[in-house]
Amino acid sequence: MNSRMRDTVQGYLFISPVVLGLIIFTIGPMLTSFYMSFTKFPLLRAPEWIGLRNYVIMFTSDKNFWQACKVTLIYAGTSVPLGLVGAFVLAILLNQRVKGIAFFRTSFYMPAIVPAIASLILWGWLMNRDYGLINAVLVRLGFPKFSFFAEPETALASMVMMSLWGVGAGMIIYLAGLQGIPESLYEAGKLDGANELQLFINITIPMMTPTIFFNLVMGLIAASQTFMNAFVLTSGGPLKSTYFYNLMLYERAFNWTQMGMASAMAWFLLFVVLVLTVLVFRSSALWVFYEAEVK
Amino acid sequence: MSIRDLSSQTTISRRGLLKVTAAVGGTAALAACAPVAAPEAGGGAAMADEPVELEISILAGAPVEPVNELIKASFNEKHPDATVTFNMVSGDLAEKYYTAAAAGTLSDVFFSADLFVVPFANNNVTLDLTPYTEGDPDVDIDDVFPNMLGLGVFDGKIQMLPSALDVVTMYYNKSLFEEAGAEEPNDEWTWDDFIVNCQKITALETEADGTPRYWGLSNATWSWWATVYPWVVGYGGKILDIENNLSTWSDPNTVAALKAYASMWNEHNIAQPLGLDVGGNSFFLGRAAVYTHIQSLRGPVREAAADKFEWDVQVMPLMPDGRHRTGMGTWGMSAYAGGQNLDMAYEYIKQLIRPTVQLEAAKAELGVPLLRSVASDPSWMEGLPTPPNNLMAFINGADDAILPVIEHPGDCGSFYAGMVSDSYRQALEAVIRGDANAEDAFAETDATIQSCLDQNA
Repeated sequence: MNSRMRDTVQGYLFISPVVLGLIIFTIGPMLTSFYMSFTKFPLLRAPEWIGLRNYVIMFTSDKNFWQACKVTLIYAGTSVPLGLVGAFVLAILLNQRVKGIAFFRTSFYMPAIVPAIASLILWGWLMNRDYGLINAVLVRLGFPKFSFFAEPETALASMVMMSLWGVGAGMIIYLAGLQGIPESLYEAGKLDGANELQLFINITIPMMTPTIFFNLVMGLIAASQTFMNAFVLTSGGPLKSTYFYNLMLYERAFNWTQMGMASAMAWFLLFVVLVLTVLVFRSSALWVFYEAEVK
Repeated sequence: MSIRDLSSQTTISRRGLLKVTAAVGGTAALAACAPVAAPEAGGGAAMADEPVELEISILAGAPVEPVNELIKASFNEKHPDATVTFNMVSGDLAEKYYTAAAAGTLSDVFFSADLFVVPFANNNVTLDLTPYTEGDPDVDIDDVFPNMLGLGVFDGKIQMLPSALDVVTMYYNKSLFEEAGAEEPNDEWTWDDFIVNCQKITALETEADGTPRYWGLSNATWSWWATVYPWVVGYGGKILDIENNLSTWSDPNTVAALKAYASMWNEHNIAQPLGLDVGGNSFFLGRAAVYTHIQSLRGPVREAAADKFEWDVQVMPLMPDGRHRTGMGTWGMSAYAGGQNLDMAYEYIKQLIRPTVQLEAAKAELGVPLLRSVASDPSWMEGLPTPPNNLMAFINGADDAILPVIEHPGDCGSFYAGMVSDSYRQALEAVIRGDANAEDAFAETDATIQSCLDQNA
């Protein structure tokens, strides 16, 4: 074996743990689930090939499916923009040179590292009608008690509101982006007579678009996979108003033992997320600006 | 390994079958295809001297763990050489059991519950105990309350032996009834009596926005089949016409029953609204006068009530058919059909329905006796902590307890999970919340379930 050949073999050997892991633990199960999506598979019996029937049932006769799609779309359509704006505003505030800024940054980022279950239980209590802190404040201010998660009209909106609790994760990325904007751009703007608002609109926002783009893609993917909120707080109720797509997928897989249907749902979700991501990527040519890019 | 063992493996693991087939040759393979021979009476006793290791999957803590300690002691008296190991399970049991069964690694005997009986039997996970009980002189299966035993039966075969007489019974807050000037529940109450008296409780105190401070009925079990289906039966309704393969939730009697049930929320306003979270179980907190559940809640209720309120139990109110219609829900023990020690697994499980074990469990407040012979002897109640004082309420309701409908095809689910459960709960919630009328809501339930029935016809 010559040295070139030896280098090649060694190279493959070095990357083989990752490649094998990818094939065995990611690509393999993915392909298996794709096959499962065309089967009836109640877990304890061998899968039975049924062609497209899972997809047909999903799209034509399962009214829960469309409700789950609707809930997830509304949630993604509201929580993602709110989260983007909230995190951006927070990052700008925390990018100021004020005393104790490290404390504020840490405080706002802290919720992002609190385990999801713990923070959800905490929110459940905060929003409790009879004993919750939020209602206690509302009553003090003269408002009636509010049943956040108990009414179909307000449950999803309450979840959107609750999602802002996690903006710290996006904020830290914005903060890094803000600090990467060259000071020379602002100095040049000021020399040209631009005021603070003009600097913000013409320098800060354009320079931040790659970060906004990143947070938008990640936010969309995360929102489309929302599960824990409903699983812990509402079980999808009341009246299916918080019946998220992934909650339905979980129920089909482990409560109804319809692994085939659950696999079909998983692949449809992947398709939708893929389409959305491609659309966002395509649109990025219109609104995302990279420093070194010439348009 | 018995012929029964071989037969069970064919249903669980193809690889296992191939190994066995290769090992024993064509003759044994043919034998495995032969009808399964019923075990001989007391077959387990014949194996008593063989060293056997049984793994038992149970939940930690009372009542499952201490009851299994009683079973183990009784089992080891007869089989001193057998080793019993407890494997503590927790979390989502269905998911764990399904995975273990699919991998062929489920314990010989495992904690089960009524909700697992149908799916496990449908998928050949659980051993049919009927032939074992039929030939066993140690067991008098006719002594078991038949309704309760029925909760562990699927397709005429015993898949699970229940642990106790777990009939849904009415827990009531005596102090609250007294304070409201309402009559205390008695065994002649109809649901109308219940409503009239609970209205006095909701009128006791209201918040600034008019919301009652106290409720007649807790919402904790509002959609449980054991709460809802007795109404259907009590009104002469039905939810499934098996002969004609028809879903019948919109049957006039069924709709009348469900309307009457929902009226406790949307008309009489005596039940705790759905979704109204008062920071825990409203009965435990003294905010609801009545809570319907099985006997195993005695300890937790006593602990919660402490010196805050007095309480007792009573049979469920009378339905229009003149019966104390109620449901049931229990845990029990099943044997894994793919296990290696089926005879001994049965020997272990059957201890659950031995009079000595039942009596000891009852005296330790781990259950209400499942056997008529034990239940009819008041000695099981001696020395038990009070309240409740009216312990016979747990037994008097047994003959009016009904079994769930379990004849839907597996794909359509059941009262416990899947499409049937999801559809009726959605409709009932919509009716209770005033979001839909009962006729339309349950017609939609029928349409959903019927499409599944047709696909599986």
